[in-house]
Amino acid sequence: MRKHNGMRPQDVVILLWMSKQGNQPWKYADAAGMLKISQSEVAEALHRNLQAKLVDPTKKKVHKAALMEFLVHGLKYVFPAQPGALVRGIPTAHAARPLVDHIVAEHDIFVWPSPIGNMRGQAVTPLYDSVLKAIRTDPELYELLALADAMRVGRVHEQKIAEELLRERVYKHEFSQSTNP
Amino acid sequence: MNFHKAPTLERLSPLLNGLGPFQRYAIWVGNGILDVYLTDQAACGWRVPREAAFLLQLPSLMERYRWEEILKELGWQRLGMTETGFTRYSFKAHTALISTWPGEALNGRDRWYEDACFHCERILGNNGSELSVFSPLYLLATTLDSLPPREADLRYSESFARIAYLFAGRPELVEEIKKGFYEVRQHIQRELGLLLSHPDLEEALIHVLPQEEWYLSEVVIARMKEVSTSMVFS
Repeated sequence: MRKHNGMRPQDVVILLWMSKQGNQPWKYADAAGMLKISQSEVAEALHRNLQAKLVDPTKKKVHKAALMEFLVHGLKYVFPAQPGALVRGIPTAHAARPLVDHIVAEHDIFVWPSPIGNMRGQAVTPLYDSVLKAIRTDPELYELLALADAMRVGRVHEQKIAEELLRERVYKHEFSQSTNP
Repeated sequence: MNFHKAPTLERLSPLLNGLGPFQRYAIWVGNGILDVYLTDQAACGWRVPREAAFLLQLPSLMERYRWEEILKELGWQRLGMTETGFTRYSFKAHTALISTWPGEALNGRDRWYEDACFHCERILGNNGSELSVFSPLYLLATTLDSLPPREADLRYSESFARIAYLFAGRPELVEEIKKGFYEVRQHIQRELGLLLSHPDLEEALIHVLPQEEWYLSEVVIARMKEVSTSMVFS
């Protein structure tokens, strides 16, 4: 078995994308196409996630409890972020949906630096560069990534709300399945 | 009265107007009010939750029995209960947490709520709207009461974060505590003494304060120590 040399940011991006897929079947090519990364990177990331017990042995389903544990308690230590200079960009963390509906922060904004962004705020490095392209066609993924950023750079009460919203989204398919007859 | 933070109050205006006859009995509580009390112009801002919490101090028995019905008539829609004994309501595009006092807020566990309600301060918005809020002294006393047990992790406590921001962003707080009533001063002094002896205090302060302003933890600890070591005269 290949040695696990630590998690990479794309591993988290793939986990978030998989969590939103629910029980919908998907192929490596789908993940690669949607996340704008190569298929070999997808395979490598899934292998690392398997070793960390974050996905099941088929590598097609996320272990939701483990993912939540990692997002809440581990993400900010493994992939820390520090707000930087004021730049144009795409809003993230508490400045993006869904957290922006819960927190008032008109003058205190975090963004992913991007020339196509429509806001000015403190730069926060996204988990992985390709997400800036991936979120253009996937608003659900954008919400998950913004919430993950709130776990990385947010303050205590934002992290609490972000945790709740992440949990809702990660377990969404479980709930919808169990409530249907 | 605080004109500097008046926009905060204006943001609450639609909710206050929606409360109709209850508006004058409303006391604003919760996370949002901290923003009003950070007087240091260079203080790190407190990000305010959009959902405001109100206590309604209802004077008549009839209103105490019928307040939920009256709110419904005013157009408020009940969404559910929170763990802290507040009811979540939606009003037009806004949501708010509402409870009555005396009542089920904090499940009746907070011993300083009665005094805090009695010693409320009024704040005035630019648009002329007025609202009662807990004074900084009682905000601190009630927040100290809601701290997690000693063995719990302070880094994840919203109450602890609130205390840290209040001490960091309000230089006059130490003097305000010294001028407070004996019982509440004694309570604050005792609780701060316990907090200062917490083995993870420094680490937790660095965790809850903004990353780039970690040095504020020294300011917070110095101010807490000043309060906890000052003499309490009756």
